[in-house]
Amino acid sequence: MPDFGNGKEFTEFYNQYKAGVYRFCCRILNRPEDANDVVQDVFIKLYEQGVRFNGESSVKVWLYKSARNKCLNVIRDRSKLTNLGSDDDKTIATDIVSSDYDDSAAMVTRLLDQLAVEYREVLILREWNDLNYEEIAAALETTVPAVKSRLFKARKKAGEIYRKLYGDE
Amino acid sequence: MKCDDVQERLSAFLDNEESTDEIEEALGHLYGCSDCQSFFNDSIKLRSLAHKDQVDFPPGLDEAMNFRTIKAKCGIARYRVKVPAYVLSIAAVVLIALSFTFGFMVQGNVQRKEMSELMKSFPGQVVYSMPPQVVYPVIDRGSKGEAR
Repeated sequence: MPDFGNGKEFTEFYNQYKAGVYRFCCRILNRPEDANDVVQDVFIKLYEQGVRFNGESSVKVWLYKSARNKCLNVIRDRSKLTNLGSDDDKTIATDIVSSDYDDSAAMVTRLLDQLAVEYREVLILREWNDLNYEEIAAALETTVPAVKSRLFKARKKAGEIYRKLYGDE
Repeated sequence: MKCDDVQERLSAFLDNEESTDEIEEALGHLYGCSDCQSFFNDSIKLRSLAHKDQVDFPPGLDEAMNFRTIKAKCGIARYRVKVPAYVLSIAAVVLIALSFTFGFMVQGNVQRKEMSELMKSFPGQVVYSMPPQVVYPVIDRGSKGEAR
């Protein structure tokens, strides 16, 4: 049972999971500054929750679950803003996404941006963060068969988008 | 076997969540189906893209996530005393027992007080016997049968 009272254990957890959680948030949100905020919120909440965890695996799952919920909130807020904003704002957003997609990072950004959030999150947890099906199911609050099915659909959809964007390269 | 079933199995196989025995039939299908082959190739391509993708961790975040900063942000000094579960259980039982005893004592006192108040205005007298008996004084009545 982790105790974050003295800071040592908290720092260990932070150093172990910071990169993974940041990668997840960055790829889900496609915007590093939003990912920064989410990561900070998640780890502060982890410190506040402290002793309520039963072992390391529950901390890992909790971190991804919490990051995912916060990212979904950010996406929801963004879509509200986009709906309220003018057409000019939409044009700027599209320009940022579509510019300079030659390098692989921009390719990934563009690909993930076109993928529905439900597919994006499961794909990132598996391919970018290397979580197993049980951990993904716990983080997404669903079952292992549902994860299996959703991953298959996500890969299929991602393949279609990839072909559409970059052909058969 | 339908292509969707095969592809779902292949997807799980890529993640080491399906054993070779279970995948045998799907692999047999894969050799003769171009759709499933392209799904499999796309999935591998996607994996290599994900592995190549470097997301640089911002160094500024480490400074913001300094333990002291977090502690200050939370605004809580975390002092914890570890109390064993059995001590907590005993304490709970003692507290419940004490609350019952206190309740009975208070109730007994109130009842005794109420009885003594009642007895002051009560014309009869209680004889403490088994069972208790109430002895009423003789009331002198007038000729019309009214009490004086």
